[in-house]
Amino acid sequence: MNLSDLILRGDFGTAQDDLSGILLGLLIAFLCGHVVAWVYMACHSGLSYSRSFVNSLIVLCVIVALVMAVMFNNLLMAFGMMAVFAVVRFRNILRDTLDTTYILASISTGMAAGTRKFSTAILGCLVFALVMLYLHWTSFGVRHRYDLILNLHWGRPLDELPRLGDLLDRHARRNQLASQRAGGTSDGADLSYRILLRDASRAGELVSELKAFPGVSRVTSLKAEEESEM
Amino acid sequence: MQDQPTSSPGSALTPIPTPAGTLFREFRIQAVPYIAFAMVVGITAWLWQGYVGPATWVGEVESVRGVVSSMGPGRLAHVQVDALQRVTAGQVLARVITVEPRILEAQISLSKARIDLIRVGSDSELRKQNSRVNLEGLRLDWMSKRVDWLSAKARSAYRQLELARLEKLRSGVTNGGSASPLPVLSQNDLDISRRDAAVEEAAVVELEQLVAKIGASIQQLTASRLEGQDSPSTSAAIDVESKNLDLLESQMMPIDLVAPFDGVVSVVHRWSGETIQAGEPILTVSQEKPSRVVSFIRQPIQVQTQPGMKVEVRARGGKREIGVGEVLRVGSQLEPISPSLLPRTSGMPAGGNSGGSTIENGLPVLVSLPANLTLYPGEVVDLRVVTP
Repeated sequence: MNLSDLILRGDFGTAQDDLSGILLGLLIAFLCGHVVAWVYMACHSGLSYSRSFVNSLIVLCVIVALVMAVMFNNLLMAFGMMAVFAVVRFRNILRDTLDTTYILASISTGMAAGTRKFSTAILGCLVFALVMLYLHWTSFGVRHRYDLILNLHWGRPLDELPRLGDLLDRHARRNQLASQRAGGTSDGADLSYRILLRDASRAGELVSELKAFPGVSRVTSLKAEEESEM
Repeated sequence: MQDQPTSSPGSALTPIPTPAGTLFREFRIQAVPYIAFAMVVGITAWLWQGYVGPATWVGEVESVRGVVSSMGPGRLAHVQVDALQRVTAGQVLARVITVEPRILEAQISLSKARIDLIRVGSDSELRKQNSRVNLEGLRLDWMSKRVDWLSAKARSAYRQLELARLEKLRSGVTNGGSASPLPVLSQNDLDISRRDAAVEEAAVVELEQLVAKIGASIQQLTASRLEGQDSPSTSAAIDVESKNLDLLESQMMPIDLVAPFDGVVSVVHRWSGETIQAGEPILTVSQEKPSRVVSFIRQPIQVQTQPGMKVEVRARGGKREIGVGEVLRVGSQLEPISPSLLPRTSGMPAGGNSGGSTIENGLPVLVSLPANLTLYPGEVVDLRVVTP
């Protein structure tokens, strides 16, 4: 018996599971979760948007598919899973939905291993890990990414603002005027930009050029982390 | 050296170059999710093609099984085959001794006593005719030797059974094929039993030769003897005992159990030395090469089948090979579908228990087995109409 046989035919539970069927189920769950997440990202409005919640939408689908594969038709195992989850949840306050998915993944793979569905446990664990790494590596769920938050005072008429935009476009792949506060009697306005830089290492150069730009004063910059969101 | 802004009125500033690392980061964040999604869609489609099939028409490769049993009760003398052994039609698989050797020996003793009785009754008459050839006496001697021969055969059969049992004990192997750690019989006891069996066998051979010799002499004398020389009563009594000996001889012969067709011994129900009843399964022989698929179209019946239709037969195991068969016959009414053909969730009671005891009916259809498919009897396949 070779290694692949050992791994792929290692289910000694109540019934030999069809691993290609389980893998198909996990992949379909991933695709469905992905679509749900994209729809959520497109349709969500308000300030409560959370990237980890979007990731959870994908991972939960996969984990639930794994759970159902493990406790297929087994009512006792379903009760057992509920009991284990309740014990874990009872003494832990999980504020992040993604943290909950890690707990669920641990429980379901543990149940698979405990019920002698070794191949299912290995496969489920691998798929879960791959999905989580994929979500992390691609920063999936980020809607508005910026490297720099730039605050400045524009002392010239607002209809000359496009000139400033040209300078920003030189350094930024994308910039967004997040807020604009115009003065009561004087010309100009306090502006706040969110900028995705072409080269993050040259952010200082942008600030220097802005300070030298006619009509620009009180330039301050704040480096934004990758996960900062609107 | 950094590029300088070329600020001139009416023209856009030259964008600074984007490092490769940043471009890759953008690719990773912007494009990889779509690429990964497309790849998973491709893998899923590939798996789907091989895995998911319409479960509306399911079948099972027909398994032809024949049960080998004895027509009469007795003791299984010798099972000559083992499980999963290939056999040919007519091959002797086992022998059954229909009469217990001890009972047979008692019957033989009875017959011997009757022959002696006849001999005593005929002595006075025989003395009167001492000038003639004593045919009756010769026949009585012949019958007496036949009795001895049968008696020796019965004892020999009993010895052989005992020897087989003792050899198993000595080797430590049980009927199920498992071995016990230590033999429960000494080699000395086994050798004694072998010697006794050999002595009985030699006696049988000697008596058989003697009976044959006397029988030949009787035939020669019978051909040359004159009518009316024998006493009618003595002759009738001898005939009765002769027929009785024929009956005992026939009972002595074991019943041969033969294979009904070419195939493989799938189950051995009984082993050597066991007592069996008439009709009781002793061996099950399964046909090696299946020829057709017994299938069921599940309800609601959406496929109208008729003989001659081409059908795609797809195996569920291995590489999910596909072949094209033909509808041979279509049933006239719905019949219960074998539970092994139904999905595991099918028939599950409302309570969620995995009993699956609900019976589902379907339309039975016989389909020929495609020649290119290597399927085992009992293997489940999926079917689909190719051409009407």
